[in-house]
Amino acid sequence: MSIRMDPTPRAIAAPVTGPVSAADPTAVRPALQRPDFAAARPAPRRPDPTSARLAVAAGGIATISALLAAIGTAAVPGAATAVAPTTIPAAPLPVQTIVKYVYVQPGAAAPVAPAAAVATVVATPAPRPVPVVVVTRQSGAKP
Amino acid sequence: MTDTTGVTVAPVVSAAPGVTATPAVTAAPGATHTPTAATTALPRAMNLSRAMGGGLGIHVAVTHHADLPAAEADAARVAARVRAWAGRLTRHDPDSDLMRANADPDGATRVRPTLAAALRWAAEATEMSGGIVDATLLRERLAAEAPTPFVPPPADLRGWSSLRSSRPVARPAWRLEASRHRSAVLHRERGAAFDLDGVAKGWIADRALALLDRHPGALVDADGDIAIRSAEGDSWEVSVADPRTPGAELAVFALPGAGRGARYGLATSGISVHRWAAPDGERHHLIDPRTGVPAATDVIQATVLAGSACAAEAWAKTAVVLGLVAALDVLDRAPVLGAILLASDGRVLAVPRTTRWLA
Repeated sequence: MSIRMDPTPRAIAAPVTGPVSAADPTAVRPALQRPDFAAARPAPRRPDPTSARLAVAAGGIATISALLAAIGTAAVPGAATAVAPTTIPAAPLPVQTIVKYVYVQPGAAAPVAPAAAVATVVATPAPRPVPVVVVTRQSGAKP
Repeated sequence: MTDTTGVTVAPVVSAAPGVTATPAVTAAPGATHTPTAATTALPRAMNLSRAMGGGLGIHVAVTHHADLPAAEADAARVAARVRAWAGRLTRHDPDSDLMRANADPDGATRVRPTLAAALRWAAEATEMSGGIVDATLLRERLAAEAPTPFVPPPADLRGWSSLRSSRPVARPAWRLEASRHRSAVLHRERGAAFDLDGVAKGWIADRALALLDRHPGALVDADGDIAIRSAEGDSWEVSVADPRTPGAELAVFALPGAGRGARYGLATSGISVHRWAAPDGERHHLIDPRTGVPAATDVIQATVLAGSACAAEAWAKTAVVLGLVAALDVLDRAPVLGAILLASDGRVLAVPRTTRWLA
């Protein structure tokens, strides 16, 4: 399917020289005379922007300071070793690692109130109809 | 429940033989599936042999007993293919494709399709595991097996400690350039010597399983790394060996079928079997690429259930190398169906969603 091209350039908005035709979408319509509502009602009250501006300014200053500090540290090789040792040993950062797992121990009892979203008692395992003949084990292990 | 390390825990799952009165526990919120332990198994043909230094089991499920002879013939044919692939990828034969490539002093070596495909998977496993699974550790592996004290690895091999570290891994670089007829040209830096022991078995099991597509279901057991396709109405049960007691099991997976065959992969990795004494202490075969020496880990064994055997094998190895806490964290977010870890203190732990698949 060919794409029809119009080689004649058109003005996006031609000057209005006569009555506006509804069939001419490029024609500019004259401005309508609208009632002046602004004069009839008071201007809406806007919240005081001072506090928001202060907050944004403070955040920007903090960000720029952090960036400058990071750039300064990275630009000086061995900067960390140039710092005099402190007498108080630095404590490791408290990193909270949450690792979810369940115990798999034969014979142990199920929890009375299992932790939400971690474990739910659903069924009693049925006896296996056929003996298990396939075993996954470490390679080279004797069957 | 929270233990002393702040770790959220929830006992207990029982999968011991004969223990039927203990409630099972599932940890798959919103799961719509429950294990179908009572599913009737389809008739199966079985071919047991040896390959890759261990046992090779090809199991084929059929709809009718009359199909068993054809299934047995297919199982034998696939077992022969597996042995051929393993022969090309082993490091124990100097004439294997792998060792010929390792011995080639040139930086660009043409490799045949099987080795090329296995190396492509090895590269993918390295990427997936954040560098923990690394097929270029042959020299380190041989050093660990040598009855001499370790030579410290180069300093540039140390220092990256996070699985998700953005720092490049200081390992010899290599890449494959595709060539004609699925072969490839292997480009590598000096020092890159390949050992596919950690990635080939699962990959072979998956590849063998694909050859059995005409049967409703099948299972390929490549020395403990297992690829499974379970047909609708069928179920495969696979037990996890307890390395502490011969014949004992840590758990049993029940893997139900689906309409066009549900795909699973199960693999186990650990440090308690391939372990030996050395002048400077005990060593094992799982090399940590971050140090170049056997991993210092508190995970004795890791079993992973995934959508393929090769992925399961890679994640299991990653879990062992990372150690217990990091492994549980990574496996909880990894695209695996479940994982069971045996810790050095005797605890048997699983990521919560594992319980959905236990018998």
